[in-house]
Amino acid sequence: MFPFNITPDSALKEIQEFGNKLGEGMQTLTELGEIPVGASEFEVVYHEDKLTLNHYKPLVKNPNKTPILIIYALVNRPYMTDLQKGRSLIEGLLKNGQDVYLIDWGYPDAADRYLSLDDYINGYIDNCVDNVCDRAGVDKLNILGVCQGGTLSLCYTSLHTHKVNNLITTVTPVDFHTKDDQLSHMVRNVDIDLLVDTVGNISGDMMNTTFLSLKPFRLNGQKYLDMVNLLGDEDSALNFMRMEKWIFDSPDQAGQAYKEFISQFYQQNKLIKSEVMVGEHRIDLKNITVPVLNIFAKDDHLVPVAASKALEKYVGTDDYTPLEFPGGHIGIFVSGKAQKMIPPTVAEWLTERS
Amino acid sequence: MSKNDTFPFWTDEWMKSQQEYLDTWTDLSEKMTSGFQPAKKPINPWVEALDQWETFIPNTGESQPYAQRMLDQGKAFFEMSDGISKFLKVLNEVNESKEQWQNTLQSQMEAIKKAFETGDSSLAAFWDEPLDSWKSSLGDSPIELQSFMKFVDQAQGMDSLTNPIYDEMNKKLSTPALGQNREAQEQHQKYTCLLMDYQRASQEYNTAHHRVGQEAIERLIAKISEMSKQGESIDTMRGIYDLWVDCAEEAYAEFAFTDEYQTVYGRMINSLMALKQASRNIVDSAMTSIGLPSSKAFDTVLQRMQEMRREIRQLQREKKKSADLSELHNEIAELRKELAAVKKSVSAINRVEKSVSKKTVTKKKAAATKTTKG
Repeated sequence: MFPFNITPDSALKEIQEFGNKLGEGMQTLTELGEIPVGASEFEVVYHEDKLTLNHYKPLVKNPNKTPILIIYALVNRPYMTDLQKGRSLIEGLLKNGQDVYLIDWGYPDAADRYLSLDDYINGYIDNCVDNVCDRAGVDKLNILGVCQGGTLSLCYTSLHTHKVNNLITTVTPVDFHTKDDQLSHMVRNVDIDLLVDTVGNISGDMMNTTFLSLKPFRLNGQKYLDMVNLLGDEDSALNFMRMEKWIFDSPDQAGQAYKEFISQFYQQNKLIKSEVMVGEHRIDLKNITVPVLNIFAKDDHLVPVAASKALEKYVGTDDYTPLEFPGGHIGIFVSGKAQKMIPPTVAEWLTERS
Repeated sequence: MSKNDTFPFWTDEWMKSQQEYLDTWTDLSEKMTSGFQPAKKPINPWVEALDQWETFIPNTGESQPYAQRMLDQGKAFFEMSDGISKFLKVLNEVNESKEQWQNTLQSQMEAIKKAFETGDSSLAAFWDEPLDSWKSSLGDSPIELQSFMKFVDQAQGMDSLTNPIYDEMNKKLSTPALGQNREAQEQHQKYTCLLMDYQRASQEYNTAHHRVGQEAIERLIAKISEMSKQGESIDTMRGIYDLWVDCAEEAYAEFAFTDEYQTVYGRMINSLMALKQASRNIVDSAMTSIGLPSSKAFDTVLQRMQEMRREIRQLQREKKKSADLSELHNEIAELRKELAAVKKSVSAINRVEKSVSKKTVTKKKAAATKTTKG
């Protein structure tokens, strides 16, 4: 059978319809103006260098007395967890009775070139933990780490177990050498010392193109043709643009911390060998004896399921709960399915352990 | 579709339709800016129409880069549609027997595969676009690099990885530097060697990348044949585009997990970084020679500053610990004082109690004596 059922008329019609949609889409785009992000009210309760610690206004009368601190990745911006009303992990946690804090790392610049993992983990994170505990009048808090922030949370908890009540990791890489980890495969032969010594901080642009290069034809091309169909009305256009804004809102990475992370985690896979050094401290996941809820995404192309699931094998706790989300790396925070599944599960799990 | 149907892709009707489209866009443009005229007769009027629209995208505003991306992809799609229309025309001209259209499909695809080597096709451009933007994000665009690449393009055979001219140039560049400007000469020799290294590594990656592009075309042919066998058909231009994207992603993903990818990718990044570092060293030398701080000096300052910040953080923690300890000492001292006071009170009470008890005993004794005497 001849496999092309395209007539000249249908082709012309298709192209013209595409052109018209493109024109309408352009019109919508030029009229959109600023793209608003963020759904929940918060106040900045602490800041240090470029970091701010945000405390979200509770939405229930008597929230959990043990606050939860969200530690986001250094890559991209944390407003992914509070993108818009109805698509917000933070809003969901607040509605489910949690007292939520979040670390916003800000945008590192040349002055932050030599910030190390030790500075991030034993400096910034520890200061934020102390601050939250002081404000809440507690000795321990709950931590929720996101992606690389989850890995940093594991390191922090390994070193400061006495300050952590419960640990939740979401789409967090633990075993960096699983067969399907494309990012890890990509950087294995890159001379990271030379790279960082040459460029200093790693630019947000470089980070973006690295992530896009995992699926270059879908993410650089096809997506923008699909976009033409999403710009018919302002709401769907804004939804699409919020995601685009987030994807390309990439802070530069502090060179030293990036070097340590790529080299120790991605290239040498030291976390599961208990060989990662943060300053003078060795990270041993066996030190983590607090309850752990590990949430991973079935279709995650950035952090494969196997890379996250490995935690069970290496963590020291007897109270380990895995949870697979049927979606991707970003969908776990913003999809409708996620709103129904993730915040209530987290809240319930915490209540059982409070 | 019957073989007897006319199939006027890439004919007057197709061009006429494109021209009508351009006219519509031009009318719209004229409404927005009076007196606008197209600069030249377009080669692909649809693409040209989008070029006109591009001039109306605001230079500021958050949507600007996304509007640009959408337009770029729109143009790419129009260009690809043109290519597809030509391709469909050729296919339609052959007899519809299975062998004939498959042979034609194969020969059309072979032509596209060849075009990958020269980059002379919309599919090849589509294939290279992510790589180009990725390289540009790495800063692969200094003027000297561009001119060197241009030179390589013009020099016959230089794009061949095995060309002996590289060895010859390397030999010449290894000649020891002499005299007063020896160091500067060495720096420039090293820089040129690194430039050649990067050119080779980049070429090596491009070669592998284009080979994978050709594999993607093989997949496309196989998928179309499979669809034909299954009695399935593609009904839209977009359907062909999507099928091509699927094949491209599959071929690329397979390549991205190979040892070869790891090697050529690593080599390309490392050679580019070595080149950029050498370039920076030359600039640093020039800066130092006129008494200005170099990037190395700035780097040293940053490093020292961070070390000092760490020391300060450590001291603050120790101070806090020692303040906590001193608070503890004070508390212990206070408690000791209180304890001493309590002890004192207790012993005073004891004394009083003893004295009271002694007096009572004496009184009792006295009373007993009185009774006895009485």
